[in-house]
Amino acid sequence: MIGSLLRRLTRRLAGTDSSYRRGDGRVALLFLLPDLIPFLAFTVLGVFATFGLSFSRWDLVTTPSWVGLDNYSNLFSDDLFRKVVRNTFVYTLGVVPLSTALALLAALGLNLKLPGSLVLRTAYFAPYITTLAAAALVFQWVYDPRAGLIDSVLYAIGVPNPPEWLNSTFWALPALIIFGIWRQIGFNIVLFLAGLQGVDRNMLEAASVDGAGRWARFRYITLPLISPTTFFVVIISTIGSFQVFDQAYVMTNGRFYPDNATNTVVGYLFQKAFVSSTAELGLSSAVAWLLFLFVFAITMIQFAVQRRWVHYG
Amino acid sequence: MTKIEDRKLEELAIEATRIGMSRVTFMKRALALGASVPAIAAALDAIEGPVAHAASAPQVSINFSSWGSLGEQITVNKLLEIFQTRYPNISVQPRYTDFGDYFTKLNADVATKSIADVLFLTYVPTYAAKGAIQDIRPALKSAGRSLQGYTPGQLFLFEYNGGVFGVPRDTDTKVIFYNRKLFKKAGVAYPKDGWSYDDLRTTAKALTKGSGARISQYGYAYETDFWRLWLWQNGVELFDNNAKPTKATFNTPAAAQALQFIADLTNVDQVTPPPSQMASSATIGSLFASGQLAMAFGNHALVPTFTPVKGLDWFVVGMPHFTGHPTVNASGGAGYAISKWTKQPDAAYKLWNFFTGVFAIETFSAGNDVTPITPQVLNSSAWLSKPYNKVFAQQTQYGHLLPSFASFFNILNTISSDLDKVWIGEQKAADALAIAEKDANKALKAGA
Repeated sequence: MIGSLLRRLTRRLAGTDSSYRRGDGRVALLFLLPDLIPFLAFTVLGVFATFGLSFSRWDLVTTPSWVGLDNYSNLFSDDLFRKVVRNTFVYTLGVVPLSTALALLAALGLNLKLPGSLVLRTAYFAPYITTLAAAALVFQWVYDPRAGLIDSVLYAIGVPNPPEWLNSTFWALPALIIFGIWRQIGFNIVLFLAGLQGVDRNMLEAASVDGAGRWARFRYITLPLISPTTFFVVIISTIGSFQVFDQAYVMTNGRFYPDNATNTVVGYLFQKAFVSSTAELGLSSAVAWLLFLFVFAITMIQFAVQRRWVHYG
Repeated sequence: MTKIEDRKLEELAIEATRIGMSRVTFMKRALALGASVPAIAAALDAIEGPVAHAASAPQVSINFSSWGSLGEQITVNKLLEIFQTRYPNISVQPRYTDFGDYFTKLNADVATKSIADVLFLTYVPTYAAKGAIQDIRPALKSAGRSLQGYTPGQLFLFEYNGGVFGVPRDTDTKVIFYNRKLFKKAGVAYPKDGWSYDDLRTTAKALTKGSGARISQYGYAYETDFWRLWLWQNGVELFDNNAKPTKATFNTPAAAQALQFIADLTNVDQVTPPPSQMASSATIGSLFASGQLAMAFGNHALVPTFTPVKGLDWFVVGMPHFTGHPTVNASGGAGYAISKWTKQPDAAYKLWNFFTGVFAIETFSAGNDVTPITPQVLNSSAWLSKPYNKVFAQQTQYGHLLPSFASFFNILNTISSDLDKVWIGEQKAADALAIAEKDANKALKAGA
């Protein structure tokens, strides 16, 4: 299959593909070059370099030295690495299902086009386009257990001991998850709205005529028809969640407190590579490759499973 | 020159920088004091840098990196402007980075050997060990400048393997800022020098306002990452040696007592903001400036934040002490270093010399950004004319030596992380210290 693709690509580039005019491929390549060259030099080369570095010890200054699989084995024996992997999993398991389900619910409501839905759409989407650092700083105050907005409301409605949020090893990660959902939901709503607008009204009306209720129409018509959108939302959210870093970094002043309860795999990678004065670039590269392989595997599994529930017809 | 004449010349130099005296007037007045020509030339160099190069000198460009508040950046820009009028052939590009990201960026720049030619720096041995900055002694020798005027303690933080890799600009002297209006309102007497932590606790309790768990005004706020100061204040040292440590020595009952006392202010007395709001001086400063906090732990960098706030009536008092122990304060600040990879060593040295001279230090002090380390500025009538500066100056005498070795920055971060649970009340200080000691010794052994 790859061989066939390559042959087609070569034919196109050579201008011998009948569907293209002679010379189109070369012209396209010329247009692509200004972006392609830096992409190859600064991204592709960098990615491959990190693979080599993941088998070496490098402090940014001295020449890298070969250490074989030491970086990988050191990671698995590092308590902190195990902790950040667990945190990242919990974060993903919290953010992906909830942000998907809540976004779908909100999109269904907004799709009814009731008065004020335009304002609501804007309100839902605003967190996604708000500068992350600014939003995270505001949430730092919102989560203040003694004067913050959330706990003040909880206290006012009679909750005697509201959560300590960022000041508790138990509540810090949920605080991050809530922030993640709040931020992600707007983007997911836009995707679901686009998906819902593609649902054939004739099918819904036909089902209605056949006596299908609101739930049955949603369960057996709408949900299967928007399943490609749902699949896309889940894939994108999962990849994004495994890469979570910046909000925890800003909310905790780069400390991932308390006691690394808000630290994630990318946070660990960042600390080892750029915060530690010994700059463990080899170890960080190993973390990056493990993360890549894991996200790749999860994505492949999702693609394999999607055949059972995603309907493209 | 006698010491008195020397002192008078220094005072004249400071006066010249403040009122913009002409070179001729300065020289006339300096000669009248009996100063020698070389001494006057040296003073002039310190004030405005050596005479400008001839217009034919080749044009060179160098970089200068720094962190600091907006006010500090304005001061740096002003200084760079003056420097470039003295050296029209040297163009200086400033690079500002927030303190939180400064060392992250610096580490990346070290990898590509592209750090600024002259850099503002702390944790100096870390970068000396990487071979990123140069021993300044050869350049000083060539220029005929000595390190006289700096105490061994001040230079200690800039030393590595027998070399000196920079000189300090300021000292990280801490004080307690207090809001006089809130004190008056609560009918509480202002804190006095020589007060104890028990006094601080009582005062903070009296100044904390709120109902139930809802707090509208906090009594006190401290930076959780300054745990080392409370250990020193209770007679505890961090390591067996400050320059070449072999083991951690901070896991003691006295250390646990000190940390527990501070943590209890948050978790038992509830007179402080939650730890998440005390992770940086900036958040503490905001609370104090908005009148939600009666007493704030901090250094001189907070002064420019508070000065322009209308209606904020504040003053400072020295650090409290633990009963039975003398007053101890933080010391050692950041300073200036020169890149080992600079392609313009002469120009870099000239800029470094300018920034470490009396004029630059005096300008920073006039900008209210720092507690100056240079005695002639620290004790100058100009600096002491602000009453709160007298407290800062007086507190410098209690400064405690900060350990200084290549892996100190990493170990400091590890211990800070190990103590997180103490500040949020989830772990006793004694238990956290045992874990921190183990981690610190492991890191010392690994040299990480």
